[in-house]
Amino acid sequence: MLRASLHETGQELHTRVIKEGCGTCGVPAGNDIRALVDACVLRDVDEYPDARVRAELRLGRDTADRIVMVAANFEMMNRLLDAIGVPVAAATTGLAAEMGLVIPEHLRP
Amino acid sequence: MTALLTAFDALVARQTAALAAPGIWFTGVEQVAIAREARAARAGRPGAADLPNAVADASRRIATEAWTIRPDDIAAWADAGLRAEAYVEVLSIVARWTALDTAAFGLALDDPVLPVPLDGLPSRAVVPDAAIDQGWVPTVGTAHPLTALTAIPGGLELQFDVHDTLYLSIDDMGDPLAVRDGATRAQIELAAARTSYLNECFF
Repeated sequence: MLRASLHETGQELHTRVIKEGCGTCGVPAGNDIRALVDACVLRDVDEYPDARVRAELRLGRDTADRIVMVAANFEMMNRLLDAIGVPVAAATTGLAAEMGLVIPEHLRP
Repeated sequence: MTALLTAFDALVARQTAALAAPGIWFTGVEQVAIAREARAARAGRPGAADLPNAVADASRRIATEAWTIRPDDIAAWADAGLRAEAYVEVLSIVARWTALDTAAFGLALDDPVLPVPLDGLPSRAVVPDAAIDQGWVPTVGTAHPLTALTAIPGGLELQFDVHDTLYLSIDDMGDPLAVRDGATRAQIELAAARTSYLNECFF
């Protein structure tokens, strides 16, 4: 969906950046979003204030809040799926390889 | 207060009420203890030792390293008295409250206050249609993001209360051009993808 949404707006996704955390992934304000998500998910009290201010200046308060909420939702979804062994969709295999990730045996379809 | 914060406050109120009331396999006291155990684990603190070992262990693993859980773990917890459906309820509580705590942190709020439990016994209601179908626990239909909690009555509703408030409605999920509070779908999915990467989740 990330790629599809960028494609709809004529932009290109650089998937490895999502994993590696540096560079430009193709999403507007991507670095600020990534920093805010990292601070929230890792509950990093040192990085959070700067990440929050940067995201809010770039995106506005409501959009920064929405980014936080989305990350929080996936804190839930990730646990739900991993803890009950939901197999990874076959279509995801290529994307994982593109990102330099290997899907573990126990999650392969 | 912004509309987003108002919506989050209302979500916390609904989820808090659900946690306090007796659940399917756990009393209100036990449900609150599960949420507290998970919160302690995420903070790197010891638990309160007020839960059976299997329940406490499952709560802590789901909270901190869900990606390491395997069928053998679920079987061992079942052998210790935590049946699969009860494990699903532990998962439901820990996953939802992790989401609330993360959102609160990111919104610069305090962790939501855990409620005073209500009296009453769990219903122990089973879902007759739930069966193992490609996952490790019973689900109604194939194991999938939309069926993960279907082994417990009301599980899906509690999940989607969080999902719809924090992320997108089911109707919007298929729209690559959806925008919510100024966040484009690409920005929303970047936040989702990065979170999954940090949690070592391949979803």
